[in-house]
Amino acid sequence: MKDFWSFDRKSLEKEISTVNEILKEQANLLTNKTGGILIGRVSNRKLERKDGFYDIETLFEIKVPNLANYVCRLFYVYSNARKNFPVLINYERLEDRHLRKLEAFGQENEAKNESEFEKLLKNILQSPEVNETVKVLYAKASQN
Amino acid sequence: MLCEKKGIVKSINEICEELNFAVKEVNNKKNSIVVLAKKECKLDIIQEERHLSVCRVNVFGEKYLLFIVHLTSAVHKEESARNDRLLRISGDIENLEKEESKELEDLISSVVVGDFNLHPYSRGIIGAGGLNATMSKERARKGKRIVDGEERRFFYNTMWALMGADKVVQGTYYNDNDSQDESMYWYTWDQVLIRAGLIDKFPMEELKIVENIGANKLVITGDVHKIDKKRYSDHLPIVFEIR
Repeated sequence: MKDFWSFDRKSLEKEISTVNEILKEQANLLTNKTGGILIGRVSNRKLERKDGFYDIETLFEIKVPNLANYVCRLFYVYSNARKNFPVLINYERLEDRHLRKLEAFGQENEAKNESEFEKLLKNILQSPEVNETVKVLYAKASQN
Repeated sequence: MLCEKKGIVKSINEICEELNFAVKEVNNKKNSIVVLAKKECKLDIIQEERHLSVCRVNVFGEKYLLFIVHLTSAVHKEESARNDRLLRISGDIENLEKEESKELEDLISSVVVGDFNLHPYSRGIIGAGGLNATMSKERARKGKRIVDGEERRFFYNTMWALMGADKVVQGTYYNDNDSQDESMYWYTWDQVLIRAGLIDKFPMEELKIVENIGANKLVITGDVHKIDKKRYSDHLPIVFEIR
């Protein structure tokens, strides 16, 4: 059989999405640092859209087994399935019209490369809001 | 939310103490939704978002999910944006149902209730890409349909039975200044949607739009009937039972 593809399994595995890899690392760190009381979770969803650049929505969540498996959604990342960058990272779920007209929404949450993405992610994870959420959930889960 | 009793204004916590209820929440900062339940009720909050709270309810050995929505009003978001929001929420609902059904034989049943700020016939509610909520109980009993090769579970929208009834109250919200010049007057923004598995446990005769609370009339009657939003709320409450 003739193989016209220019890749093999190994080469594909080297190209794992940078953004997802970074998010999963931070999710695993959350789990490890809290002794499993808080579990970081990353999941991807297809956006049902027929236009526009962004078509994948990635959720970064905290799951709390001791609180009846309560899930807290921390932020969203929007990306294009065929490209690693740019990506959008935002606390709130974005409306379709924002994704369609990025320039109207604002570009402060857009990362064009890995370094910019890490900077934005760090700002979110180190924010007072996220810190308070982690502390509240950890305290409540520890009491159970 | 306050209520007046003999001129005394009471808080949610005071009312809960009197009635043996509890405020159910975990980290409810962004949300406009407050969940109250009897203290002995087995209800766990499993998600709190800005426009959605999700509860796992365990009653008489049966589990179901309760999704409570409060979507943005038309004052702040146009209809297409509100419908878009519901398309996303419907994805959340399906994913949660699958997750919660992992140890069950069938998919768990759900109730979606709240202020949708959308008509029952809006795209986000009735559309296959949204909640796929039909007025037809018979269709809803089939459980699902295939749309573009994908399975879409039905909801039954119980509110169709009350909309436009020849009664004093014909919806849950009243407005006589429609921005589109449409002669609606009564809107059914607040709705109760149920999965097929709950249809036989939902007595339709107990589904009501509340007009009076004791001697307090929530509706001003006259040549035209309107909600007394100055004294109470601009929405009328709805009550229902699941047995």
